[in-house]
Amino acid sequence: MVLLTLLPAALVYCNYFGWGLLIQFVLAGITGITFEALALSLRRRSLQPAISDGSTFVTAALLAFSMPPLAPWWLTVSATAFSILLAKHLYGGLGMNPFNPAMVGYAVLLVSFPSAMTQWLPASSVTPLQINFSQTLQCILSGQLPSSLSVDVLSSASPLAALKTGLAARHTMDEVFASSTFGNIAGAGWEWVSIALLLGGMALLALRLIRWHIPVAMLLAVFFCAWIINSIDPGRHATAWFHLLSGATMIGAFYIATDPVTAPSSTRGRLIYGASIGILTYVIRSFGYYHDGVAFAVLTMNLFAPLIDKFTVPRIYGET
Amino acid sequence: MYTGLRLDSFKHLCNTGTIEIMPAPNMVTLSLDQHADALLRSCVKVGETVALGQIIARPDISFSACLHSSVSGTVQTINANHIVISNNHKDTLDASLTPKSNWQTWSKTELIAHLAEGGIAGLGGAAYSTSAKLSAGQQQHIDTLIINGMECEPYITCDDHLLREQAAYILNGVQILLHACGASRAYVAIEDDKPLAIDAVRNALAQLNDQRISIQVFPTTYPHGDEGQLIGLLLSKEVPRGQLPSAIGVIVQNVATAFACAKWIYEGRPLISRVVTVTGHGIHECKNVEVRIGSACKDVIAYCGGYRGEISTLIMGGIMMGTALSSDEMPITKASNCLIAANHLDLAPNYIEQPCIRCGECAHACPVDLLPQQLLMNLRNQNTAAVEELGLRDCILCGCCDTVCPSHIALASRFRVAKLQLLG
Ligand code: SF4
Ligand code: SF4
Repeated sequence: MVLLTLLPAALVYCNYFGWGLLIQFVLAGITGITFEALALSLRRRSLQPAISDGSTFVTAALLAFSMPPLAPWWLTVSATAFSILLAKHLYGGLGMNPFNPAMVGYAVLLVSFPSAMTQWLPASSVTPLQINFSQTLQCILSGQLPSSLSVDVLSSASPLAALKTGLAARHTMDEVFASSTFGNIAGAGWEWVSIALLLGGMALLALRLIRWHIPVAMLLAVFFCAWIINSIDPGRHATAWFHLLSGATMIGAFYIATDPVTAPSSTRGRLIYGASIGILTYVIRSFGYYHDGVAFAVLTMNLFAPLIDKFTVPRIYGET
Repeated sequence: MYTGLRLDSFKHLCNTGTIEIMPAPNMVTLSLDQHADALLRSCVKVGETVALGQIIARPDISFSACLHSSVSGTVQTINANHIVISNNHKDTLDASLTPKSNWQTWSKTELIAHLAEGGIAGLGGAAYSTSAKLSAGQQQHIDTLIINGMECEPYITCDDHLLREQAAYILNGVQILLHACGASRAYVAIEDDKPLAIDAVRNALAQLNDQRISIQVFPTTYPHGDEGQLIGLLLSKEVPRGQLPSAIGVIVQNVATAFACAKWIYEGRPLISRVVTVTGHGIHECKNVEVRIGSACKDVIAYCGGYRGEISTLIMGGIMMGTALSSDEMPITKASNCLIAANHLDLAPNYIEQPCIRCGECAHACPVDLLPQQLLMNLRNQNTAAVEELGLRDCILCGCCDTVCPSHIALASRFRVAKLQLLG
């Protein structure tokens, strides 16, 4: 179900960035299910329910969305391995993990291979060069670009990264935005992926697969942080809409932060948790070293989830 | 405000016809653990001849209900748990039983004591002595009496049928209860899925013309028939934790209890029978039957045409809060409002429990705002202090958490066991 709601976003993504996403998803899915089975049999648990619950594939899909589309295969495979083995089964499997598995896998690799993890493709709408399915596959499997294509053309920074480097080089917002990486509001292509993810998120809400508290709190927090800072210094900081539609904000709000296992369970707790992730995301993006902050914000708040739960125990009926 | 769950209703299985009176069985088994508030002690001997309606066991404490023989006949066995009486089918009535038409001149205490003598207990499923509730309320000023006709359990229709057929008599019982608790107003609360009962009560109210009594109709949601939930719904008040509703000036009684009061006062007939909903897809004829207390479940089932095909479980009480019976030899008690012969059409498929994913749905569904998943975790870790802290005592065992859990975890049944083990 969750995977189906990701479909529109996946289509938009493939439209702009080629087949990479699908190949990464297949890679992550196969690796994920293999390691899941391995871990379960090592732990002598029955395979069937845990494999059919679909959580592994959701983790795989989230990783696929997080990885650069042309990331070499070993990057994806090891990210998945970290997710399933380290973040999930080391803690006792589904339901017991304190950290969001996909984000652990992503963060470990981001810290270890920062450059490989940030090589992005320019959106197809802004580059004359199209990369086809077999080239993508070849590229992912060999870890090298096909000889017909040059590195310079294909590798580009994501809009958030471009913004960061642009601003670091003391360009103003307007100058940075003049680059073709950017679209109308946010990054070219990225804004549409984000909008598709928003639609998927709406579907999750409508299907009652998630509740509104975390995404709404997180999006509002990102929006207001960005809005305040942008009003103070519009020349050096991107707009609120840019932040909403960039990077992992949308997928984070609807698909990552809402992972119930690693979030607080009370309503009030979830509002606090969502808002904190939003604020942290913004702070890391704008003032931190990394250009996107969702993964670290989620992991940090995962750490606080039990504490939040402790302090937001609802009032029992009849309690004074 | 907690909105409750909308459960699939199975009331249609047993929603037509009138209440039938089942002939008294050859043997009755009267449990000495009938009442939620006190154990009973036998006051007859083996071999003794007892009359219909004769007191055969009394509680150790005052203002708790007595137990009466539901047949006339001979005491066969007595042990710590029950008294067995064989029926001589004469239904010779105990000569000391007389109607009391002058009850309005009595003091509260006299009336309460008399209700205890009549064996009146809560017929909504808990069988807590009515007089015990009323006497606890004597210390406080009681202003509101709530007559609970919500019947939110998806299968049970006995109160609905009683209201349809005996609304006027039930209101007489309400007047008696009003006198006994000193309240100035009484609400008859009914869920809106019982239009016939609502009409009957409205008509009876028009006839009776007692300004103190009014009817309140509520949407059909589970578990709004629970005492605490109903008080919240009706009065927007909460009963303080660990206290009785009388602490906030409220007494709640079930409609069938009000009916039993009227029978006892106006006819001198103690609580020796009750209406039981016999239903489920595993029974031939679903119906509401007036059954003598102490009849074996299997007699009742035989009266309803017997089982239809294989049944998976025989449930005493509602599908949500009832208990699976180990055998159909078990007797009907004052608390038995329903018997469900359940097969696969009644029960959720036997899902394998999945790990808790901490989704919080259970907490969202819990009418008393507990955190069932944390309760479960601490129960598994045998952390008794945390379990207490998290309010296991406040759990009303409604089963809402089970119903919504996507991992199909049986939470409420574990809480039921834990409540018995840890909290006594
Ligand atoms: S509803 Fe079930 S899975 Fe969800 S938190 Fe409660 S116990 Fe866990
Ligand atoms: S059974 Fe207990 S914990 Fe579960 S919903 Fe009902 S009151 Fe809450």
